[in-house]
Amino acid sequence: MTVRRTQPTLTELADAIRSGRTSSVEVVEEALDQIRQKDSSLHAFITCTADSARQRASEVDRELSEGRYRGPLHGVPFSVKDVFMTEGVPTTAGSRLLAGRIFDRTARCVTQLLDAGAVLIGKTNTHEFHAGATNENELFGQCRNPARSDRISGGSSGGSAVSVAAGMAVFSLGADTGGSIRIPSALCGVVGFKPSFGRVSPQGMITESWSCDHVGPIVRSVSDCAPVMSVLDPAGSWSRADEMGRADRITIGIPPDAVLGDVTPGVAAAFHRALAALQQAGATLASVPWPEAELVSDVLQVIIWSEAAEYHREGLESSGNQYSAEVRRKFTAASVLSCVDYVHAQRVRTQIAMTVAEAHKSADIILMPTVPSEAPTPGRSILLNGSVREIERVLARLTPVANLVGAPALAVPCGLGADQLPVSVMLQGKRGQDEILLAVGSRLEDALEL
Amino acid sequence: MDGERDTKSASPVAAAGEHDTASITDPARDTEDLTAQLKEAAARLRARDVGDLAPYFAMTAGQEP
Repeated sequence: MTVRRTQPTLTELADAIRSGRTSSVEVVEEALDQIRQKDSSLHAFITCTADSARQRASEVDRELSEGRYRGPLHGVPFSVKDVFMTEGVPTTAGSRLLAGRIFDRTARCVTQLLDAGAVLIGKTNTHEFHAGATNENELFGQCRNPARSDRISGGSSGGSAVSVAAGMAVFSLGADTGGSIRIPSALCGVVGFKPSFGRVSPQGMITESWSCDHVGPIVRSVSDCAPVMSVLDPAGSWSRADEMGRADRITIGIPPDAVLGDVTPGVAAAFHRALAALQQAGATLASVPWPEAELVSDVLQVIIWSEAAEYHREGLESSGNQYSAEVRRKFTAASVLSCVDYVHAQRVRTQIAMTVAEAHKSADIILMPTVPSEAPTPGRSILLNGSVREIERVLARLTPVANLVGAPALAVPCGLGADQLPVSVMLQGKRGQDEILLAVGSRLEDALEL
Repeated sequence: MDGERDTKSASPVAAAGEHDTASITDPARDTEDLTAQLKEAAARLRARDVGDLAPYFAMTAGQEP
C-alpha cells in the first residue's frame, strides 16, 4: 500500500514564505512546537537552537520584506546531524568525549545553507561518532521511530530522519558512511539522498571514514533534494534534473536474487511495487551483475574500522574511557589488521567498482530495497524470515556498495509494510550522474502517488 | 555563544544523561567477536585473487583499474 504525504514539502513551504502566505517566523515556531510536543519521547535532538532560530527567522523575514531574496531555502528551518561543527553551538558527535565542546568554526556545508537563508533549528542525535546503524545512544537517548515508538529510527543519522519525519525540521543534513542517511530515512518513511563522493564538502565534519563518508540531505519529497543540493553543490545542474532523466528513456538494472533475496514480505512487495511503477512509466528492465553482500561487508569493515581507528588513535590513547564500550570495541578492533590488510581491501574495492561498472553497461539506474526489513525493536539482533541475525549486518546489507564506489544513491519511501511501518526502495546511479538519479526518483515518487 | 544558552533553554531536549537507556545493550562482551570477524574478513579478502588491480584510491585518481 502507499501512503500520501501529509506534511508540506520544502518547496511548498519555501514558496509560501516567498509569496508572503506564511513567514519564516511562523514556520520556525511550528517546528519548535513539534519539538516541544514530541522530542521528549523521540530523542531526535541533542541541541535545540530555539533562540537563535527565532532571531534568524525574524531577520530573513525582514530581508524578504526589503526585497532581498536569498533563494529556495530562504527562511526554511533545518536540522543538522551533530557531527557538523557549528561555531557557537556545541558539537558532540553523540559522544561523551565531545559533550559540550564548542568549535570555533562552522562546517562548510552548514555555512552554505545558512548563507542561503535557511534557519538552523537544532543539532540531531546520532549513533556515537556515527559508528553504528541503530542510533542507540547511551548518553543522549535512544532515537525512536515516529511511526512506532517501540521501534528504532535506524542510524547513524537517526535524529535527522526523525526530525524530518515528525515535522520538527523541514529538511536535515546527514552523513552516510555505509548507509547512515538512507537507512534511517527508509525506516522513518522519508527521502534520503547520498550524493556522489566529492559533490558536497565534508570540511568541518567529525569524520568516521575518510574514503567512505558522504554528506547529503534528508527531505520529505525527492523534489526537495534539488533546492538543497543547488546550495551544497552550486556547480551541479540540479534545476535541470527533470529534463535529464525521463523515465521512458532509462534502463533499470535488477541485481541477482542472491543480492535481493532475504528481505521481509513487506519489503519484497514494496520492491515489486516500485518495479511495476517504473515499468509503467516506460522504463526498460535488465538483469545486472552485482557485488556479493558478504564481500561488500568484508571490504567495508576492514576499511572503515581502519580509517576510524586512525582518526581516533589519539582520543583512544588519551581518553579511551570517554568512548562507549560499543564504539571503543569497534575502533580498537582494527588493531588486529595490518596496513597490508587495509591496502588489500582497497584493491578488492576496485573489483567491486568494476562489477558496478559492468552493471552500468546495461543499466542507467540500479533498483533494490533500501533496508531488508521494517524498523526493528532495539537490541543487537533481528529476526528475519525465521532466523536471528546481527542487526547492523541486516540494516546495512544493501547500502554500502554506493559508499565503496562513490556513487549517488536515493532512498524513496514505498508505502507501508508489516505493522504499518514504512518501507523503502533504493535507486543507485552512476557516479557523477546525481541529477539523472534524482529525476528518476522523482518519476518513481509520482508513479507511486506518494 | 548562543549554543550554550540554547541548550539550556530548550526544555523539550533533556540534558545529557537524563534519557532512558534501559534498552541499550552492553556490547562490550562482543569485543572478541568483532576482532575475530575482522580477522576472518581480512583473511577472506587476502584469499581473493585481485590480479594486478591497483587500490581503489589509485583508480579514483584517474589510474586505469
